[in-house]
Amino acid sequence: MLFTSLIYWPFFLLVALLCGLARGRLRVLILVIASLLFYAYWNTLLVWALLGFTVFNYLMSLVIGRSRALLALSIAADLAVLGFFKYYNFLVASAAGLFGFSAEPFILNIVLPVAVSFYTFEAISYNVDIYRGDVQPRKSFLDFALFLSLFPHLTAGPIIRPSNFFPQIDHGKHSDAGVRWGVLQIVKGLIKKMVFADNLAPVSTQFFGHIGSSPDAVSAWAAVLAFGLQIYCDFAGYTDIARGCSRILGFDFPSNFERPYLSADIAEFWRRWHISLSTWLRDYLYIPLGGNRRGAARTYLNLLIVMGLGGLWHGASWNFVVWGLYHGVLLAAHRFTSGFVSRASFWYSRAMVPVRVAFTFLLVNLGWILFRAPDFHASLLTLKALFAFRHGADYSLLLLPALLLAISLAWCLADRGRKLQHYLFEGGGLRFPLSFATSLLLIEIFAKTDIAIPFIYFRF
Amino acid sequence: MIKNPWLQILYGVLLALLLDGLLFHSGIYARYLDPRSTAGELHGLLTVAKPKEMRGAVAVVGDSRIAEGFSAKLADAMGGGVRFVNLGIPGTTPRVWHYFLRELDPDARRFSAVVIMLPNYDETSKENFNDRTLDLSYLAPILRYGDAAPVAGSFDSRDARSRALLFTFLRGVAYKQDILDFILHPAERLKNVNGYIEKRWRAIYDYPGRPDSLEGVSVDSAGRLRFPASIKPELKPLLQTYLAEMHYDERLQHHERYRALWLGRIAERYRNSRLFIFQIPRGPLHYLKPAVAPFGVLAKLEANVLPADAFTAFERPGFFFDQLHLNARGREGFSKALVARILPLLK
Repeated sequence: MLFTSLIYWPFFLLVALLCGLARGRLRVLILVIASLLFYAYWNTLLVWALLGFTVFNYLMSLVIGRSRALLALSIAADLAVLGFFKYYNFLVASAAGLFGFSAEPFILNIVLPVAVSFYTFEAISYNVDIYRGDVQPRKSFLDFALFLSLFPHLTAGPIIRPSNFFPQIDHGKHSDAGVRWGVLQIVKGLIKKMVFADNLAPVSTQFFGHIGSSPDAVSAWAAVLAFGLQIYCDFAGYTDIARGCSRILGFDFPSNFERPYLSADIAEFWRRWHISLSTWLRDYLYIPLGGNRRGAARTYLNLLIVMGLGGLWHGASWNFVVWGLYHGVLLAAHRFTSGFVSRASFWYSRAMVPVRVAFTFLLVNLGWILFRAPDFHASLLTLKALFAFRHGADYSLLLLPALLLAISLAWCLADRGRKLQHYLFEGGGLRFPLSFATSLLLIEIFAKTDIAIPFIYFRF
Repeated sequence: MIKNPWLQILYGVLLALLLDGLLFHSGIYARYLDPRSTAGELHGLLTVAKPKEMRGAVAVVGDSRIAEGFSAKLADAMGGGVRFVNLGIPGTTPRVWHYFLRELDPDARRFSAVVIMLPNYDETSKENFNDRTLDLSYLAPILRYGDAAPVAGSFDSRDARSRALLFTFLRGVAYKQDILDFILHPAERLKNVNGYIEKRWRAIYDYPGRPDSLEGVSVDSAGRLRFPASIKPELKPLLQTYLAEMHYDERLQHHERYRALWLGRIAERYRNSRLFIFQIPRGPLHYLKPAVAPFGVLAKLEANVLPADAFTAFERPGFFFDQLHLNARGREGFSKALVARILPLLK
C-alpha cells in the first residue's frame, strides 16, 4: 500500500478516526492490527516473518539484561535474518565469481521482505540499548510490536529509537497543532514525491535504463542531476508523509532530512541526509569501533568501514559498497583537510558558502552515479560521458531538472527557517484551508499519475 | 474563526474541489484544450456540431473508420435535401458515443436519425472494452459529477474504476498533460486553438479519402498472406496481425455486457427517434469470413439493425488503405451505399 495510492488514504483516515475514539491499550491494539494489515497488503506470508522476528526479539529483550552473550546471540540472529533474505544470493554470486564455480545450483528464489533493513536495525538498537541500560525492556508485547511495525514508518523509516518511541505510547501527543503540522508534512511529502521525484524519474530512467556505448555529456548531466533531485525528493517525501501521518496518530518522529543539498561540506551533508541511519551507524557501529578516539589512521579506517557497511545496507550489490566507500573517502578527506585549513581562511568565509555548497552538491551527485547505475560498467560509462561534449546534443533534456532545481532553490530562499510553510499551515481561520486547497490543486495538476513509481527506498 | 483542524481539512478539500470545478468543469479551460488531443478533439467537435444548422441532420457516429470511410459531402449530394454529419472520432467506442450524443443532443431531438457503426456484429476481439481507460481521456470534458457512479461502475477492474472516479471529480487530473503543454508553449497553443476546429471541420467535409490501396493483397491456399510489390513494408506486420485476429472465434461474455450497457443506453435515449446500427466493412480480407447476422443483445435492441451483409461488398483489399480503414474508393462506394440504405427508411 503506497502512500501515493488512492487506497492508502481511506485506510489512514479510518485508522486515525478509530485511534481518535479509542483510549489507552485499545489504541495500541488498533495500531498494531492496522500495521499488520498494511504490511499484509504487500504479502500475507511475510507478515508471519515479521511476527516471528518480533516475538524472537521481544523474548530476547526480556532476558538480555547485562548478558553480553545473549546480546551477541540476538544481534547475530537478527543479522542472520537480514543476511539470508537480503544478501544470501549476493554472497553466493560474489563467491562464485571469486572462486570460479557456478552459482546457479546455490541460488535461492528468495522474496525480500519489505522493510527488513529498517526493522532489523530498530530491533538491534532496542536490544543494545537494554544491554547498555539506556532503556528498560518493555513488558507489553503489543508496545514492542508497535515499535517495530507502526505502519507510517514501517516500510522506509525513519529508523526510530526506543528511547524516543516508548514514552510516546504512554503520553501520546494529540493536539490540534499536531494535526495541522501533520497535514503540512503530508502535503510537502506528496509534492516532493509526486510532483518532483516522479516527474524527474523518467529523465534518469531513460538514461540509466538504456546506456548506449557512447552517451553524450548533456544527457549524462541531465540524468545525474535528475536522479540527485529524484532520490532526495522521493526519500524525503516519503519521510515527510511518514512523519505527518505518525503525528496525526499521536507520535512525533525525529527529522530525517534537513535540506541536505544546502550543506557546505560532506560531513555536514551526512548530518542532514538520512539522519536516522547516519546517527544509528554512529551510535551502534562507529563509536563501538572506537570512533575518533584511537588516532587518525584508525579514525579514517572506521569511517571507511562504517560508510562501506552503510552502503551495503542499501542493497546487495558491490555498487552500493563502492558508493559507501566513496563517501567514506570523502569524509576522511574532509577530516584530513580540516586539520590544516583554518576556519578563519577565505575558503570558510561567508562569501565562499555558495561555492562550497555547489562543490558538495557536485560531489554527492557524482556519487549517485554508483547508486543508480545498474553496474560498474554503466557507472564508468556515465562518468566518461560527463565529459563527452558533442555538437548537436539535446539541451532540452536539462530543462526539467534545471527548472525543478531552480524552483527548489527559490522555495528554500523564500522559506528560510521554514517560517513560510508554518505560517501558511498554522493557526485557525481560512489560511490553512486555502493553503491546503492550493497544495491539493498543485498535486492534482502537476503530479505524475499515469504511471505508478514506487518509492526508491522501499526495496531497501 | 475555524479552530478545529479536521474542519479546516474538510474546508480545504471542498475548496480544492470548488477550484477544480471553477477551472475545469465550468468549461473555462476546455476552450484552450489542445484541439489535436483526444479531449480537445471531442470538445472541438461538440463546439462545431452544436449550431442550429445541424438540426434535423442525420448523424453518422463512429470511430476513425467513419472519419475515414464516410463522406458527409457525398451523402448530402445524394440525400435529396437530407443533411448528413460525420461524427467519427478516432479511437472512440460506444461508451464515448453515448456521452458525446448526450452532450450534443440533450433532448435526443436534434437529429432526424442517428446512425451508429459497429466494427463487427460478431465481436471476437480479445480486448475487454469495459476496461478501456482510454475512453476517460475522451470523456474528460463532458463527464458531470453525477456520472461518477455509472461511469466508474461500468469498468471491470478496481484500478480503472478508481481512475474513472478521479477523472470525474478532479478533472485537472485528466487535463494534466494538456496543462503542462500549455504552460510550456502558450503562444503555440493559442495559435492552434484559434479556428483550428472550424478549419478541420471544413477539411473533414471536403476530405476525399486516402488514395492508396491494398489491391493485390491476397491469401494463398496455405492461409499465408501474399503482398504485391507496391505494399508499404510497415503495413505487412499489421496485416499479418489482422489476419490472425480475423480467425478468432471465441465470443467473450464481456462484449455482450458492454453492448448491452452502452448500445442499450443509446437505444434508450433514442427510443422515440430513428436509431440505426450497422456493421462497417470489417476489413480488406473479411470476404473470407462470412458475416454473422445480429444476435444476442443486438437482436433485442430497440433500433434498426441493418443486415450483416449490407456492406460486405466493400470487404475487399481494393477498398482499403490499411487493415481497418476504407480508402477514397471505398469511402465513396460505402457512403453512397449507406445513404441508399438509410434514406428509404427515413421516409
